Amino acid sequence: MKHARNAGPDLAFRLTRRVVTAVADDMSTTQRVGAGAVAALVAISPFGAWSEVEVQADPLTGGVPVEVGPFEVTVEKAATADELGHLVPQPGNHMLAVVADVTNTGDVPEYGVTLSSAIPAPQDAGIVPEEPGKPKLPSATIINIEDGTSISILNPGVTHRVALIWEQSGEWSGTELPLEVVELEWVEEDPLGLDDGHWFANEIAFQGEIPVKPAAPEASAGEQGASTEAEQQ
Amino acid sequence: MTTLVTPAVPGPGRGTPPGAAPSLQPGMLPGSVPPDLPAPARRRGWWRRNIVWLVLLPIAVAAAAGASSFRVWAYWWPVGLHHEVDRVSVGEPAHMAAEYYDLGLSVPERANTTVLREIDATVTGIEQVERLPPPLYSDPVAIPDGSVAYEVQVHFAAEPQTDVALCQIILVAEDGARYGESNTDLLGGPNRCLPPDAEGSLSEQPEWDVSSFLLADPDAEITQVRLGFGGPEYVTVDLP
Amino acid sequence: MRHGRRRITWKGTALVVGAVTAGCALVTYLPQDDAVDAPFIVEGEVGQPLDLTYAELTVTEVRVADVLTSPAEAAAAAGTFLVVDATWRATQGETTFSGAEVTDEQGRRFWPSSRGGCSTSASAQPGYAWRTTYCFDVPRDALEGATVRLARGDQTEEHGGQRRDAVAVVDLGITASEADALWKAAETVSPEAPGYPPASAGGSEG
Repeated sequence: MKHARNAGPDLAFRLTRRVVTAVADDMSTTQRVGAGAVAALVAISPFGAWSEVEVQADPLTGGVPVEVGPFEVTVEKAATADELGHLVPQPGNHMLAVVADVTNTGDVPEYGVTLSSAIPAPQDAGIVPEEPGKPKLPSATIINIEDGTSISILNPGVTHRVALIWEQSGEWSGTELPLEVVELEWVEEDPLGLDDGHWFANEIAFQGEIPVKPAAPEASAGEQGASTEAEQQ
Repeated sequence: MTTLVTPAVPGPGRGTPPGAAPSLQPGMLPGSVPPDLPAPARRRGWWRRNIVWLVLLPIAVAAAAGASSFRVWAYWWPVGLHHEVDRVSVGEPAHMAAEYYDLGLSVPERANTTVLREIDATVTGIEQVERLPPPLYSDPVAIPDGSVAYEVQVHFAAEPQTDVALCQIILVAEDGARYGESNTDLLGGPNRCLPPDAEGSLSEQPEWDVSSFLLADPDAEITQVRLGFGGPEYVTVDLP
Repeated sequence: MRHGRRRITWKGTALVVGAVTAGCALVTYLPQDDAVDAPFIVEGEVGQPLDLTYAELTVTEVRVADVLTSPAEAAAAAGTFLVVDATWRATQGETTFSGAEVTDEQGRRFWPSSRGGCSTSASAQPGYAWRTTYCFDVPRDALEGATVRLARGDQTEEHGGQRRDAVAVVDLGITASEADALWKAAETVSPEAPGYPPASAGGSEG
């Protein structure tokens, strides 16, 4: 069974060649050129041949609204706190909150998880991963700042002042948070996942350094910070 | 019917100029030998040529329908009362023997096995009541405006340790409305097939009586009682 | 029975490609979804009992609230909470009423919030009426002419759960001047937990 590993691909290759030969035999030269072109187009489609050329991420500045999929997001600032309501970190860690005004500019309600996918946990900022030792970072818990309730639905036309909250390692002591905002792309038909009509978090559209206000007593104590943030940009 | 692939050799008799030899191809000089002699009388009808596929077509349709109807037995059939296993009158015992898949919630030894549940149920009385008895644990329940309350009395007989989880005692009206489909009692009892002070879903005595209360529309004409455990099997008790 | 090689011809190729194109065009452009999927809309107004086959529904009251309070939490509206009280009476069997949605005059859609002790769905059996309070966080310009759409099928996935099923669309009866007054009012509402309605407002009785 020395060659067992090669048997599969080899067989597939031979079969493909036989089929191609059988079909191509009956074709005129023009037909062969046409069929070859079509096959080439089909073959490069899965690799993003028709996607738009990747653009550079735009700067993300506190107080400046950005359009992300169905949302208009204005990141105001970031703050850390020992605990936020029912969100209590492991001993030694603290909670990190990114404060933002979010408006759903579309015609239909959007899920809070869609907003979480647009603003993923910042990299290299000591965010505690989902499972110890694994690189995957958790998505944010979204809290309505005015009343501390959690928001799962964002209706069109209303502006929520929210905190996106993660648990952060106590060892991180930066003054600026490297925040990224991901472009959301509408997937009308999803033939692979059979999940038609959803927002797909695509590539990083905005990135910037958001000043961190350390150890605020609570998330709602951020109202006066908005104006200073606006002056800085 | 259009054939997408053109036969290289047309059938004889078509387009042959009159007077030429029937076997001679058009454009071929007399005396030359055709490369491949066509078999004579090959123009069988379309139905004859495709007889195999025509026979297979209904079989394929049946197979496709069967393959795509898996949801019927996978999702619809097991959930809900679909199979009447016994039908009796009030006062007569109805026998229900049906298998169910036990998750081991009550008896760990039965976990992930198929268990046969055998139980005899006799509806001994059904009557409209003016008020509800005080529940064992919660506040008294008043009959809401626009509703009437019924009390259904059932006598059960089964081996002790029979699991009666998901018990349903349903009143069916003449118009098909099903009253009291829920597993929980009007008085908040956790299992309608066990006495109100019972814990868990296992029977303790070989025979026992229960009384279950439910709400119905005032103009409902109740015609039968259905007893089941989530389905698909159930028994029907006809009211006089 | 091999009689010469079958040739791939331009005509045959054109037929196949043409047939596939025609099939795709039919599926794409014919409005078949409407014919197959359209729900049966039952229109009504506040206070009117509506027959949805599987239930009788009455929208009993419409209020607004800036703040909703419940024993568990208080919720502040980003816009204003449109509080819709409804009474369900199932007619066939135990039914879960999953669909609740407000539509404004611009066609924008709003889903209910579970904050502040409000319900986003209801479950009831035949034999009694069951009162439920839905709360929708909406902007000011959504109030005028808003309608509420209630059904047993849920409205996510483009009303996917409501295909070929009865759906109630109730005009909330908010005029332009009322919308202004409602927006300015600073109300606090404590939604009642779902339950049997009070003695006087039990939907309609047969």
